[in-house]
Formats: sequence, C-alpha cells, structure tokens
Amino acid sequence: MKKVIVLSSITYALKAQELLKNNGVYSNITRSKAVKNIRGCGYGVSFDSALFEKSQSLLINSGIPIIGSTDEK
Amino acid sequence: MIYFDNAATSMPKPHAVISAMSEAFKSCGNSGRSGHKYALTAAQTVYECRKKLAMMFNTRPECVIFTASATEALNIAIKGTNRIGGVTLVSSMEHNSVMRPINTLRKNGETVLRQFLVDVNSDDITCDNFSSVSRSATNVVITHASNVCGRILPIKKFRSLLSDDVVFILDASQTAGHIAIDIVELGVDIMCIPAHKGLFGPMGVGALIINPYSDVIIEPLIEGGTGTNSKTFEMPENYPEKLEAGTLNVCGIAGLSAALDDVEFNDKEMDLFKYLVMSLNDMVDIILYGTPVKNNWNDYVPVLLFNKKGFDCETLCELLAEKGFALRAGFHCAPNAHMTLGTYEIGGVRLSLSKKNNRREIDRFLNVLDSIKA
Repeated sequence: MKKVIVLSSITYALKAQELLKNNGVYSNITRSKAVKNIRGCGYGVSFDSALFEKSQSLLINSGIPIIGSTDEK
Repeated sequence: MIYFDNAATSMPKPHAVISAMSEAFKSCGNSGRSGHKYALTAAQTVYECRKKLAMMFNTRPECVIFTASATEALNIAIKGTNRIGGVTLVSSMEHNSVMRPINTLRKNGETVLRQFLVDVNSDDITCDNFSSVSRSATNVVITHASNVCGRILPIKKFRSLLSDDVVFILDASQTAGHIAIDIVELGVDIMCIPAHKGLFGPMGVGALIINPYSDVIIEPLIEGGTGTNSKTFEMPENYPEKLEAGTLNVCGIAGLSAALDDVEFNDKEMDLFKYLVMSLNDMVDIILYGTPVKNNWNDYVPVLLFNKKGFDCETLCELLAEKGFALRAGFHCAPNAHMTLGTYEIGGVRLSLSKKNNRREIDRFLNVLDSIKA
C-alpha cells in the first residue's frame, strides 16, 4: 500500500520529494487518480504508507503546505 | 568584434548554456502540466534553477518566480504591490522599466510619484535626499546600480531609513552576477533580475525574487493556467505558481541554470574597469560622467558613460563599431539618469564590461578611441 500526500504545486512536490529523500524516505512524484480526487489537477508524493507519520511531520515542520493525503493502491 | 555592451546583454554566451538549452528542447515537456517523463524532466529542470537562484540570493526556491524578463518582473512587483492612494518613491537613476509602469499608475490616479536625487559622489547626500521625501512613501522602487554609469546605490542604508511596512522593490538588473547579493541582508522585499546580463544566461528569462522573511503580498499581473487546481477560476494562493500563469520558458531556464554554475565573484572585472577609467581620465578629449572620484571602486559595477569632444555620441559609437567595437550610444532608456549626470541633451556612449573581457581588448580600444579625430 502506498500513501500519497498532495501538495499545492509541482514546486512544492519537488521540494517535498527532496526533503523526504534527505531524511531517508524515497518517494515518487505522482498525478494519480488519488491526487485528482483531492485537487483536480495537481501533484503529490507517493511513498510507503508505513512512513506516513514521519513524512507528514517532516513536511509540516518545514512549512510545506499540504492539501491532503490519501491511499494509492 | 570586441564586445563592450554587456549591460544590454552579455556575450558570448557560454557553450554550457547553449548545450543545456539544446538538450532541454529535446528532453523537456511542459513543466507542471503532467506526470510523464518529459513534463517531470522539465519540472525538475525548473526546480533546479529555482534552487540555484535561491541559494545565490539567500531565499527559498518557492520565492523564485520566473518571468520573461526583469522588466516583466518589475511590472508584476510594482503593479502587484501598489497601494491605491499611496506614494511610490524612486531614485533619479531609474530605467524606464521602473518609470513607465509607475507613470501609468500615476496617470490613473493609483499612486503619487516622488523622486529623490542621487549624488554619485556622495552616499551621505543621496541618503539625505532620500530621507527628505521618504516619510510618506508606501512603496519604494530603486535600481541597485545605474545602467548608465554603474553607480551602486546604498540600498541597505535606504532600508534602514524606512518603516517596516514600506514595500521595497529592488531592480538588480545591472548587479546580478556582478556582485554578491543577499536579499535578507539588504532587507528589500522583492528583487528583479534578468538572466541575460551579468549572469550570462539567455534572453527571454527573468526572475522576481521574494525575501523569505517578507510578508509582502503580490497580486498577479497575468492570470491563467498553472497546471494545478484546474477546477477553480482563482489563481493559486501560493508562490511561485500564483505569479507564473502560462507555460514557462523551460529551455531558457535550463540555459540560466547552466549559466549559474559558472558565476563567480572576483576582482577581475573591477581591475579592468579601474584600468579603463584611469586610462580614459588621462585622455584630454574624453569626458567621463559619474565615474569614481575617490577610489570608491566598490560603489560601482563595470559600466561607464563617456563622450569624446567634437563627436555626437551616436556618430562616435558608429565609428567604433566600424573599427570592431560593440558599445551603445544614446539615452539607455533612463532619461532621469542622464538628467542627473548632466547628459540629458547630448546622451553618451556606454561601455560595459564582463568577466569575458581582458586587458588586451581594453588596450586596443584605447588606441582606437585615441586615434579617432574630429
């Protein structure tokens, strides 16, 4: 199971991906249906759902605006 | 041809810039518009350039807004922060990329325009002149260095004379790439830069850079698609997308990104500039305007204005072009700067150096200039 955190833009998605990578969380940039359901068009970072809590707090603590989160099968 | 018109655009562009642009034409789709590899390659290319600019000017990547030029960035900054009924303060050295948008606001009754006189020989007098009109200012728009004579203005001092709620916009068109700039240290809210001058990037790219500690709100000048949140007719609230409607010049941004890898700050340009100015000072038929008078070389970027006795500036510039030297004559889109320097009626020839110039080129120029007789 993957978790997706949806960001406000591709800029923040790339910034989030870099931040997560620097903290040992490897993610992919996605425009999956999961993102579309939350945002219309937009971008998210997709990663192992076991790392959700860690990833979310990393992004929040870095001031990266999170639009929402969802599961991706 | 020996190129001395770097204040207009720097030449020759590095091979790395041309290669990066060529590669981007082949590998980049539309940034921020899809999830396929071409779109993501473009997005990554743009983001890398944002990061490099953010590092260079001490801000965050999302505070770097790409535009088509410094002029576009200035228009967004000036019109996007204007306060109806406010007062906009400018220096007497501004380029028309500042003066024309503010003049439009003034004509529409949307701002009152005030100007302070720059004394190129004394920052103290300049600051006194600034203080005498700055009390009512709501917005300040000032060039970092004159595009006519290269004089750097005391921006940090200006900021210290203003209250925190005054929006300060810096036109760094002539300083970016020539001197190190820290937007936080200067204390300005927004700075606007071109890619194609001191940074040696391509034409067609500029940037509006926001101080990460500023709470300035910039309203978009151009609205449209951003690739995100497509179901709403409102522009996104977050930078950079709030101010980046439409397709970015990804290939140009790729070129700028390559150019940034080659930016270094050293004394080479200013050593050449000193040699040039001191040599011209010794030529009796050359008149210099606004050049250093007391070894204050650090107050300048390598741009100078001159005339030769007995010659109209355009005629002299043509003669120099015929002899293999690229300079620029006229009024350089900055009429008030010429008013300040005393050349409003006659204009002048501008010579602007870059890191690519060398002593031999300057010696050849001095010989040819001296040999031209009325």
